[in-house]
Amino acid sequence: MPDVDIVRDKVTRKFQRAYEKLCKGDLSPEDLSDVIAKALRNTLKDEGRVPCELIYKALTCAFNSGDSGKTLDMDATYCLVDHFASTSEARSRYLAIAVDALRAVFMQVENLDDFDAFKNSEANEYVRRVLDADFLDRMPLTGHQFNASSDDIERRLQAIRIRFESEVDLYVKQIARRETTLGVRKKPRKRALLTDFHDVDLSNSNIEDNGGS
Amino acid sequence: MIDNSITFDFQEISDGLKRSKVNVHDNRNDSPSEIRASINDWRAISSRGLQPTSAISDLIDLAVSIDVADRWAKAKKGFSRTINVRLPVRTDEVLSSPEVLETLHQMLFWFTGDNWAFEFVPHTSDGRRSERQSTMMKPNNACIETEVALWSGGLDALAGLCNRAEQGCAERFVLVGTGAKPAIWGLQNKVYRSLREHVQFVMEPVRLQIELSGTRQSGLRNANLNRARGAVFLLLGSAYALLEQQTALAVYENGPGALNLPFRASEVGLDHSRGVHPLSLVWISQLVSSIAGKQFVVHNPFIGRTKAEMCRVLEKMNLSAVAGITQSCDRSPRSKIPQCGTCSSCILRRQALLASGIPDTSNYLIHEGTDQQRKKYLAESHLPYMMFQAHNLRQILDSEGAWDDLMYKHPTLLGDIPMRLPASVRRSGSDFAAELVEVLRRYAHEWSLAQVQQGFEAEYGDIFSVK
Repeated sequence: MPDVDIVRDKVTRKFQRAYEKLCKGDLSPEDLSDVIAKALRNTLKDEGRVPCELIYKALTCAFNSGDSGKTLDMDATYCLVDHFASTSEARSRYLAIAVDALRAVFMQVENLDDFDAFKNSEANEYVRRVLDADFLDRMPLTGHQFNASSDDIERRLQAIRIRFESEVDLYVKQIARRETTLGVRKKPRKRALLTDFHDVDLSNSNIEDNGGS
Repeated sequence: MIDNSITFDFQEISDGLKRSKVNVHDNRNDSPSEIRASINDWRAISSRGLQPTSAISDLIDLAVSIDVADRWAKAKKGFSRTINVRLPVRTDEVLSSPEVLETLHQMLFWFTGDNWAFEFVPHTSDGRRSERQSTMMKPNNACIETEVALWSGGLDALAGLCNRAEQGCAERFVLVGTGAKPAIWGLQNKVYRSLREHVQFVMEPVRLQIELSGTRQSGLRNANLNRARGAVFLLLGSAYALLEQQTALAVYENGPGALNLPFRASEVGLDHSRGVHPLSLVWISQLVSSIAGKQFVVHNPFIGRTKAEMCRVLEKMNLSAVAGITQSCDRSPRSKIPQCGTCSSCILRRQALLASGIPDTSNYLIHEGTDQQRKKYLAESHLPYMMFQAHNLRQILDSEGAWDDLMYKHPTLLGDIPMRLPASVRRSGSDFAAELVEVLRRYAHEWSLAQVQQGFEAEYGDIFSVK
C-alpha cells in the first residue's frame, strides 16, 4: 500500500479513556468534561512542545521581517513555516497541525499591523485543531462503544460544552502567554472564579479609585 | 546532537544493475549496506531516434535517486526522516545552484514531509547507452503535434486520453509509465492494446523502468509509505517530454482526486497523498524549468472536472469495455482479483462509473472475494469517510464564502493555490479557486444521485454489521 490514503477511525491513546466514558455515559457532565480536558492537556504537554516552538519562532520571524503597515509576504512566510517544520524534531502529525494552525492565522492577517487583533489566535487554532484531529473528528463513523448512538454522543458533548470550552480557553491563554505547552494546567475546581480574574486585563479598567472613601 | 539521517551514496546510475551501486548508511544505528538501482531507458529513448541532453539524463537520475531513497529510508514511526542523497550528475553546476537545491528541499518536503538534502558531484563516465550512442534513426516526432502524458493504466488516464483525443488536442499521444512491476506494465500495456483496437488516434506507450536489486540481502526495511512516488513519475514524464522536445507534460486526473482533501480533520499532513495535487505540479514545473534551463509546465487539463464527467466520453466513444480493464486500486491486493473495491481510489472509481451511467464491469474483492476477504475489506472500507466528506462538502460549498471556508479548513492544501499558480498555467488565482469550488460542489452532489446512493446502499449497511 505505498500510496494509499490513511483514514483514522480510533481516537488517540490519550483520549481512549475519555472516549470510553463519553460512550458509557456514566459520568456527570462536570466529570466527563474534566476527563476529556485532561486527555487534551496531556496531549498538548507531551506532543506540543516542539510544534509550539515552531509556531512562535515562525510568528516572530514573519512579523519582524517587514515594516509596520506593510502587507505580509505570504510566499516568504509560508516558506519560512515549511523551513522550520522540515527541521523540527517532533511527531509529523503534530507538526502538520502546527503548520495548518499557523497558515490559518496568516490567512486572516492581511497587514502586519493587524496582528494584534489576532492575538492568541495561533494558540487557539493549534489547540482546537489538535482536539479535532485526535478526538472529535477521530471517533468511529461506524458505531460507538457500549452501543452509544451518535445522538447520545452529541447530547453528552453538548452537556459539557460550557465547562469544557472555558477549560480549553484557559489552556489557550496559558500557551499564548508562555509560548509553550509545557506546564499547561487545569482550572482549579474550587478556585475557578479566582483563576478567571488572573486572565482579565485590568490595565485599561474604568474602575475609579475613590480613595477609600 | 544525534544524527538521525540516512545517507544514500549513489555511484553513477547505469542501465545495468551490475554497475549501479548505492551505498546506504543509516546513521541512527551506524549500519552500512549496499543495494543496486538502475534505469532501463535504452529502448524508450534510442530506439525511437531520440538523444538525451545532459540535463535530461540528470533529471532521470534524480528521479531514480528519489525513488530509491523514498522506498528504502525507513522512518521512526510517526516521525519524519532526514534523507541525504549524494548523486553524480552531468550538470553539477546547475543542480548544485542554491536555487535548485532549495527547490528540491522544499518540493520533497511538500511531497513527503521529510527533510531531504542533496549533494551533487561530477559525473565521470560516458553515461548510459542511450547517451553514448548517437542514433541513426529519424525521430518519430517530427512535425507531428504531440502531447506527452503520464500513463498509469488507471481510469483517469484512459478517460483523460480519450477526452484529449476527442478535443483534438494533439495528433499523437506519448504515454509514459514506469511499469515498475511486471504486473503494472502488463496492465498498462493491456489497456493500451485494448484501446488501440477501438480508436484511430496515434498513441505510443513508453516505459522508463527503474530496477532495483540487493534490497533483501542489504537488510534494509521498506518504508511503509512512498509519498515521493508522484514526484518520481512526474520527473520521469517531464524528462521524456523534454526528449520529445515538448515544453509541457500532461497529467490526466480528476479535480477532487488531484486535490485529495482529507475526509476528516483527523487525517493530517501526509495521510493523504499529494502525488498530483496542483501545487505538486507547480513544484515539478519549477524544478524541471530550472534544470532544463527553459520554461516547462506540468499541467492537469482535468482539474475542473469530476471523474464521472471525465468518464462520460468513454460511453460516447463506445469504450465502456476498456474502462473495465483499467485498475484504480491503491491497495493492490495479492489476489487474482486485483482491486479491493473499498480503498478511496476504488470507491471514487465506482462512484464515477455509477454517476456517469457507465456499466462497471470490473471485478472487486468486495463483491467476488471469499467471505473472509469480504469481511476484511468491508472493515477497512473508506466508504463511510467519503460519504461523510461529501456530506460536509455539500454544506460548505452551498454556502456563501465557500472558498474561504475551504481554505480555512485546509490551509496547507489550498491556502497557497491562488498565489502560487504561475500565470502560464492559469488565468488568475481567484478564477482557479472558483473552478475548484465548482468541481468540488458538483462532485459532492454526484453522491446524492439516486443511482450512486443505490449502488452503495447495501454495502454501507454491511460495513456497520462487520465493525
